[in-house]
Amino acid sequence: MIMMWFCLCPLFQVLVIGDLGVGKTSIIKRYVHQTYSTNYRATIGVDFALKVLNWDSETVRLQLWDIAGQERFGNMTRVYYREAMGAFIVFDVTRPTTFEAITKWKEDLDSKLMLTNRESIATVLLANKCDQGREVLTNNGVKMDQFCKDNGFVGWFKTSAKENTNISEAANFLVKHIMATENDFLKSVVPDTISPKLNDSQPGTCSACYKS
Amino acid sequence: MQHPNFEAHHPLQPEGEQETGFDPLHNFNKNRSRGEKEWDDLFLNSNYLARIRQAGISGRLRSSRFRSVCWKLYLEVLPEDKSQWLNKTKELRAQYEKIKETHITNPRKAAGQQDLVVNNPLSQDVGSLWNKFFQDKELRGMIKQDVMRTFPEMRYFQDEDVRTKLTDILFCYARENEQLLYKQGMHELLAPIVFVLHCDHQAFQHASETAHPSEEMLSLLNPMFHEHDAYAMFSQLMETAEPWFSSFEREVRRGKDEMLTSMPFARPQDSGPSVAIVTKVNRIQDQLVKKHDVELHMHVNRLEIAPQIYGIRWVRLLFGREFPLQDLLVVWDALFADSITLDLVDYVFVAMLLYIRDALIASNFQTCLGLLMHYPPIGDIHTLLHKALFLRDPKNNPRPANYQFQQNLDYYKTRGADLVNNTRGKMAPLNINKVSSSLLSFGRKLIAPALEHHRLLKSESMPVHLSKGEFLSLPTFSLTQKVTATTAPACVMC
Repeated sequence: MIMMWFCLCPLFQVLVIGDLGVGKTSIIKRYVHQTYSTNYRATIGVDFALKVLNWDSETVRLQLWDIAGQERFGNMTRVYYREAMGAFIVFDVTRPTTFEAITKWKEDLDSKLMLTNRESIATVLLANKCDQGREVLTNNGVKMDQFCKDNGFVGWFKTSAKENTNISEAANFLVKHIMATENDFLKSVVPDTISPKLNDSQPGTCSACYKS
Repeated sequence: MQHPNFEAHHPLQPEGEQETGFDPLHNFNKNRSRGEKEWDDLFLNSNYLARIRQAGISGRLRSSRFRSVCWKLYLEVLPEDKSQWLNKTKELRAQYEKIKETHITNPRKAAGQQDLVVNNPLSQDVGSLWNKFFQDKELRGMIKQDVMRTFPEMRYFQDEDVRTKLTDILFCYARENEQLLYKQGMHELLAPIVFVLHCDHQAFQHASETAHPSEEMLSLLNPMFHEHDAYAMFSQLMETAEPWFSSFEREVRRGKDEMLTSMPFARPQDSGPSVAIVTKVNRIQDQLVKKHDVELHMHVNRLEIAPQIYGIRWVRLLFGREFPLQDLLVVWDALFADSITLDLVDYVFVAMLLYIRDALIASNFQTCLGLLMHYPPIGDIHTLLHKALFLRDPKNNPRPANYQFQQNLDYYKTRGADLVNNTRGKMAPLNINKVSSSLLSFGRKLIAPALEHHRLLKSESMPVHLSKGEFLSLPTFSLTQKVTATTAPACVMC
C-alpha cells in the first residue's frame, strides 16, 4: 500500500462487490460509459474499468474492479482486493437476501484488506435498483444510517443505474473519503516524506496526471 | 470431408453474410444425398473416430451439419462402437427423464406421504419437502438470473422455451452435484452445446423432408430430446471442467525448487491454500509461459499481473468471451476433439498470450489488463489453434507463421489505461544512461526512475526491456508525444 502515497498522480483502486445480479456491472457502465443496458452478461471472475475524474484542479483516476457475485466464496478475492483504496458494496433493494449478504461481503473485505493504520478501507453502501419502487428496506433512513455506523460503512446511497440516480454522487463521496484517509495517513505515518502538493498551481507537478 | 459449398448455407452462418437471393437449402434439397454423404464421410469409415478428431482439431467442422454428433463422440456421450449408438442414446435420455422427474417435482405432489409436523410450509426440518421447495426456489432463481443474461445479443437465447431448457438442465445438474451446485459460468458452457444441437436439428429437419435419413440420424437428431442430449453432453464436459468451478481450498504442494525461488518474493497468489483454478492458471503462467516466452513471463510478473485476474474467465468459459461464437465453436471443436481432458486448454491459453505478447511487453499494467480482459479480435482462429498444437508438441506439428496482434492500442488505453502516452519525462531528475533505440522506435514511455526514496505503484511502472532487437513485428503506437527520456533503467524496486 505504501507506495501508493508516493505516486504523484492519484490512481485509486475501487472495488465494487455484492451478491450476484445486484447491478454492479450496470453501475460501473453507467458511471464510466454513461450507458445502461439490460443486456449485460454475468461477470465471471473479475472485470475492470477506468474512470477519469476532474477533482478540483487535478485529475483523479479510479480503477473500478467489478467482482463477480459468486467470488466471495473461496480465497480468490484476496488477489482482487489488494491495493484497493475504497469499495462499494451493492445490494438490490428488491431482494432482501442481497441485503443480508452485505455484512458477509464487508467481513470478507475487512478480513483480507487493512490499511497500514489498521483501519479498513473507505466503504460505501449502495442500495441499487431504487427505481423499482420496492425500497422497503431503505425507507427508514435513520435505521440505514445506524446500520452503516454499526457495520463500518462511511455512508450509503439509494442508487439506480437505470435512471442514473446518485451514481456519481456516491463516487464523489467515496473519493472524498479516500482522499481524506490518504491525507491523514501522510500526516500521521510518514511525516518526513515528500507529500504531493495537490493544489500546487505550478503546472506539471505530475505530468502524468494530465491527459495531453 | 468438407464440402466447399456447404460454407454458405449453414444455420450457423449469421444472417446477412449469405449471398443475397441464395436459398440456403436449395442445393441440399436438390441433392438429397448430400447430408447423407457428409454423414457417411464422417462416420462410415472404419477408422472414423480418429478421422473426425482430426477434422475437429483442424477446424473442418465449421460448417458441418453433424457437429453435435461429433461432439457427442468427443465427449464420450456416444461410444465408438456405432452399433451401440441407439442403445446408449436411449439409455441417457431415460436417465435424464428420471433425473428431471426427481428434482423438478412439486413437493405437494408427494406431501400426502409425510407427517404434517415435518411437512408444512413453515417447517425448518431438512427432510421437509417444503424446505426443499424453498431451497429449490432460491437455487432456481440464481440460475435463472444468469440464464436471462446468456448471450444477450442472440435472439435464440431470448426465447422463453430455450431459457427454461437451460434453467432446467443447470438445475438438474446442480441437484445431481450437491457439492458443486450451480456456479456462475456454467451457463455459458451449456449454452453453446444447446445451440449446436439446435442448429443440427434445424438443418436435419429441413433435409429430412425430402431425403431418407438413417435410423441413427433420426434418433440422434430428434429435437424432442434436445434437452436430454444437452444435459448428457454438459455433464460429460463438467466431468473435466468441474474443478475449475470448485471453490474447495487445499494446500498447494510445492516442489523444493519452487519453494526456494518463490519464497523471498512471494506474491499474494503464492501464499495460503489455493483452489484448483488458481493453481491451474498460475501453473500456465509460471511454467508454460515461462518456457515459451521468458521475456513475456518476466514482464507480467514484474507488473504483478496475477493470472487469475484474466485467466479464470478464460478457462472457466473455455474462452467463451474471448471469441465470437462462430470462432468459439471452432475452438471447442478442437478442444473436445483433442481430448475429453481438455488438455489443449493450457496451450490455447499460452497461444493467446503469445498472440498479443508484443503489445503486452510494450504496455504498462493498465494497458496489459485492458488487453487481457478485453481480448482483441483475432483474425484467424486456425492459426491460433495451430500455434497451440505446436506449443504442445513441436515435433509433430508444423511451426505456424508468426502471428501477432498489430492494431494500435488506443482502444485499450481509453478502456483500461491512459498511461502509456503520458510522458513522465518531466518528472524529477532521472538517471538517464543510455539510449535504447528500440524504445525510441516503440515510443514507449519508459522510465522507471531509480529514485532512491520513490517507489512507483506497480500499476505505474514501465516495462522492462530485455532482449533488444528481438522485436520484428511491432505494435503500432500512436505517438502523440515526443519521447523525452531516452532509456529505461529498470528499477529493481518495481
